[in-house]
Amino acid sequence: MIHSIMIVSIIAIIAAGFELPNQIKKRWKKEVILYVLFLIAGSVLSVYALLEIQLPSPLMIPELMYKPLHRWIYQS
Amino acid sequence: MEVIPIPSNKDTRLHAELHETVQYIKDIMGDSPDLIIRDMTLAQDWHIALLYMNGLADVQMIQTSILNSLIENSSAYNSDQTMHPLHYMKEKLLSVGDIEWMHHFDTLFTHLLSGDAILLMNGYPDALRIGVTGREERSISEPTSQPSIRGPMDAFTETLETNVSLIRRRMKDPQLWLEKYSIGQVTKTSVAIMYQKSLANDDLIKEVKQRLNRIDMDGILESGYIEEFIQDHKYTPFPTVYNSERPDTIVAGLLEGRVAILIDGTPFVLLVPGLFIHFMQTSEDYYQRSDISTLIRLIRYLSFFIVLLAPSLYIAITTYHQEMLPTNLLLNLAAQREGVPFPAFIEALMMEIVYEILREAGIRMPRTVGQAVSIVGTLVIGQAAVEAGIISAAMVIIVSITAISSYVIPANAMSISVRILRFILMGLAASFGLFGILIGSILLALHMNSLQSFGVPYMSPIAPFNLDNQKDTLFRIPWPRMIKRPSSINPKDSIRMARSKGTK
Amino acid sequence: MANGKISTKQLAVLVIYFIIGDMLLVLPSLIVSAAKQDAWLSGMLGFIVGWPVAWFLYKFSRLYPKLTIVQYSRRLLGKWLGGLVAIFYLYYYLTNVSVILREVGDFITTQFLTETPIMVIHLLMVILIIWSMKSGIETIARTGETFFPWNALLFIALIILLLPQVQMDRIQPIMTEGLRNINYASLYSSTFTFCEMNVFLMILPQVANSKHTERDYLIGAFLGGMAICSIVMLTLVVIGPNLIPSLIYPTYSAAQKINIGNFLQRVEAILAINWIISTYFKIILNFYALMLGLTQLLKLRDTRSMTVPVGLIAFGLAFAVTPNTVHFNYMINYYIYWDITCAIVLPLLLYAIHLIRKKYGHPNLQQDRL
Repeated sequence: MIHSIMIVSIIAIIAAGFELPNQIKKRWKKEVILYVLFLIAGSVLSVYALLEIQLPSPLMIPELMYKPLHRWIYQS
Repeated sequence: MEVIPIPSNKDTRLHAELHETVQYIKDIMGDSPDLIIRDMTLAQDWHIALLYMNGLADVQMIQTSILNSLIENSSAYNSDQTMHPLHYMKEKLLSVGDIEWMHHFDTLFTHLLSGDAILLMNGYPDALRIGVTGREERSISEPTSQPSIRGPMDAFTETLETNVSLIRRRMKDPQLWLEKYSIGQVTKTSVAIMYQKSLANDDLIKEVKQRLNRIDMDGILESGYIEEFIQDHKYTPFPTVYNSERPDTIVAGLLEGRVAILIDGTPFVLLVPGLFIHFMQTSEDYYQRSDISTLIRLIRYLSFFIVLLAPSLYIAITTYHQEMLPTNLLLNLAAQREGVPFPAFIEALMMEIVYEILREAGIRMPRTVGQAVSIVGTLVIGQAAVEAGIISAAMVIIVSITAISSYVIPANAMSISVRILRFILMGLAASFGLFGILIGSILLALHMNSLQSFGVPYMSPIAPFNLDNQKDTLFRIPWPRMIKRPSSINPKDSIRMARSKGTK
Repeated sequence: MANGKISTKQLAVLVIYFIIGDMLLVLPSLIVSAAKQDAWLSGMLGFIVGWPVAWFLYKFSRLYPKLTIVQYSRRLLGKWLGGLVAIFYLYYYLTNVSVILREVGDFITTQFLTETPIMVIHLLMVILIIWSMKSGIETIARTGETFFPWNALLFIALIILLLPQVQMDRIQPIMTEGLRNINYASLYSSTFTFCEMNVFLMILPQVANSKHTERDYLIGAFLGGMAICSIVMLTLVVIGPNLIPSLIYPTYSAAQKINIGNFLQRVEAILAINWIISTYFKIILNFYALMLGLTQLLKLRDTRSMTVPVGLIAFGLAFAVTPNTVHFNYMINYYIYWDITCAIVLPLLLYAIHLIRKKYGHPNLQQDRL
C-alpha cells in the first residue's frame, strides 16, 4: 500500500515540478490552484487503481439516469 | 609585451605617419614572421609600404602586378598634378582587378588576414586594399561521402569562391543571388547564402538571414555549427537542415526554391528547408530511369523501417509473442537460444553496441589496418561469439541486416538518428513486446509530425497530404510528367515546364 | 492551442478513425447477441440511421462555426444552466476516455501480454495521450494522415485474407429474428459509432474552413460506416452467429483463423495493430475535447497546462470503470441512451433554444467570436 502511494506521489511531484514553476512565474494563480486540485484528485484515484480497490464506476451516473427509461421501454 | 587591444570602434582611422601604422600592425600581430612588409621609396619621394601575409596572398601576382607596375611606372606621375598619390596609383598604375580604399584598422586586419595586400603611404591616413588572394587549395575531386554511379563526380572544396563557381557553372541565371556574411567573432568565417530570387519564397529568405544574424559565437569551423544554430528544434534526433557535398544536389535544391548556405572552410553546403523526404533522396534518382529509381526508393524506405524495427521485432517476438513464428522456425530459434545465457534484449544490446564500436573504429582506422579489422570484426567476433554461446546466430543475422540497411539511407544525418531511435524501441520491445513497439511508433510518428523546418511541416508531403507532391516521394515519376515544383516549400513559381513540352 | 488548424482531409481521416474506433473488436459480439444471424442487417440499418446523425451534428456545429459546444451551450442557456450542460458533456468525454482505456487494457492483457498488470498498459496509454496532447491537435491530425494509408492497407488485407474462410450460409436464414431484434441491435451499431461523434462538436471549430469541409466530412463518415458494416458481415460469415456471443473478441478470433497455404498464419497481430491505432485516435479526440472543454469552462489561459492531472484522473478511472466483463456488458446498455442524449436530444434542445432566441431577437447572439 505504501509503495503505491509513494510511486504515485513521486510521479505527481515530478509532473508538478515540470509545469508549476512556469505557471507560478507567470503568476497564473487560478491555473496553479486548479492544477494542484486536479493533481490531488488524480493521484488519489490512481492510488486506488494501483491498489486495485474498486471504486464506484463513472458509469453509475448514466445507469442511474437511464434505468427508469430502460425499464419503461422494456415493459412496452 | 603588453597586449594592445584591437580597436573595435570603427572610427579608428589609420595613422598618417607610415611607420606608426606599420609599427601598430606589427605589435598587434606579435611581429609575426609570415607578415611580409615591403618598404619602398618610389619616384617623387613617395614612401610606401606593401603588407601581405605569406601563404595567404599570391606572391606571384604581387610581384608582377603590384611591385612591377609601381617600380616601373611611378615616375610617370607629374609632380604638379594635385591627385592624391594613392588615387593615382589606383587609377593609373596598378593593373589589378580587385582594388578598394580603406580607412580603418579593423577592415585592414580582416582583409590582410584574408589574403589581400595592403598598400600604405606615408603622410596619408588611407590605404588601398588589393585583392590578390592565392592560397593553396585542394583541387576539385570526387565526393567522399556521397558517391554515385551515374552523374557528375565533382564535389565542393573548402574554398567558398570555388564552391560558388561550381554552383554558378550549373545555374547561369542572373536571378541566382549571392549574399555574403562574416560570422564568428574570432574566426570571421565567410558565410554565403545563395538562392534563386525568382523562385525562393521571400519569407524563407528573410528567415534564413534573421537566423544567421542571430549567431553570436567566437568561431564557426564547419557547417555543422551553423546547422545547430539555425535549426528549428533543439531536442530532436532528426536533422532539419540538409547538407551535401555535391553541387548537383545543391543546384537541384535551388531550382526547387530552397536556400543554400555555403561556409568557407568546409565542402559541406547546407540547404534549407530540409524535409524528411529530402533525406531519403539522392540526386542519382533523377539521372537513372524512373522505374529503377522508384524501386530503389522503395528499398530505401524499407531499409529505414528495417533499421528501426528489426532488432525490436526480434526481441518482442522471441520474448513475448513466440506464437507468431512458424513452428519450424520457432523450434530452431528455441534450440539456438537454449545455450544462450542472456535474455534477448541484453543479447541484442550487446551486439548492437559492439557493432557501433566497430563502425566508429572503422572510420578512424589507418587505411592499412582497415582490412584486418573488418575481418576481425565480422568473422572472428561474430562467429566466435556464436560458437562460444554468448549470442545466438539469429541475432548476428539481425544485427548484420540492420547494419547494412543503415547504409542504404543516403543522408548520414538521418541514418544516425535512426540508429539512436532503434535503441529506444529495443528497450520498449523488451519491456512491453509488440504493444511497446506500437506505442513507440505512435510516439515517434507524433514527434516527427510535430517537427518543422523553417516553417514547413517536416513530414510534407506525407502529412499534410498533397497528392501532387506524391510524384516525388515514394516514386519517381518520369521527368516529362513532373510539371510542377514541390509545393510544400511554397516557391513563387510552381510550374516547372509547360505542359505541352513534355512527351507523353 | 485553440488556433491549431486541421485541414479537411485530416478531418476526414480523423472521422474514419473515430467511427471505427474500438468498434472493430467490441461491436460484433454485442450486435450478434441481439440479432443473431441478421446482425449484418442491423449493421447496415445502423449505418443508414447513423449517417444522417453525423450529418446533423455537422450542420449543428455550423450554427456557431467558431464555437465549441461548451461555449455555445453557455451562450444559449446562460452561464449556470449552460455550465451544467457543459459539465455533462465533459463528464461524458471523461468517461469515454476511461472506458476505452480499460478496453485497451483488457484486450492486451488477455490476448497479448498476459503476465503484465493492466496498470502498466493503462500507464503507457496515458503517457501516450499526455504526449499527444502536448504536441497539439495539428500534430495529431498529421499523425492520423501518416498512419491512415497503412491502416487502410492492413484492413483490406484482413478482409482479403479472410475470404477463404467465408461461408455465406452462416447468415441464413435471413430475417427470421424479427424486426424488433434487428432494430434493437442496430441501436448498438448506430450509437456507438455515429452518435459518439458528438465529440466532433468540440473539434469542428478547429478545422480550417474550405468549401470541401462538408463533403470530406461526409465521405469520411460514409467510409467509416462501410468499414463497420463490412466488419460485422465478415465476422458473421467467418465465425458464425452461434459462436460469436460467447467470444469477447470475435474479430480477433476471426483473424486467428487466417491461413493461406499453411504459411501465412498467426498474423492476428495486424488486426491488433489496426485496432490499437484507431482506438488511440478515438481516445485522443475524446481527451482533446475534454481538455478543450475544461479550458473553456474554467476560463484557463492555456489548454496544455492541466494535461497531466486530467491524465492521472483518467488513469485512475480506467480501473474504476468496471470490476469485470459481465458488469461491463451490463452497463454498456445504458451507454446507448447516453450517446443518444448527447448526440441528438441535447443538440435538438439547443437548436430549439437558438431558434427561439433568434425569433425574439436577442442581441448577444453573435457568432464568430471565440
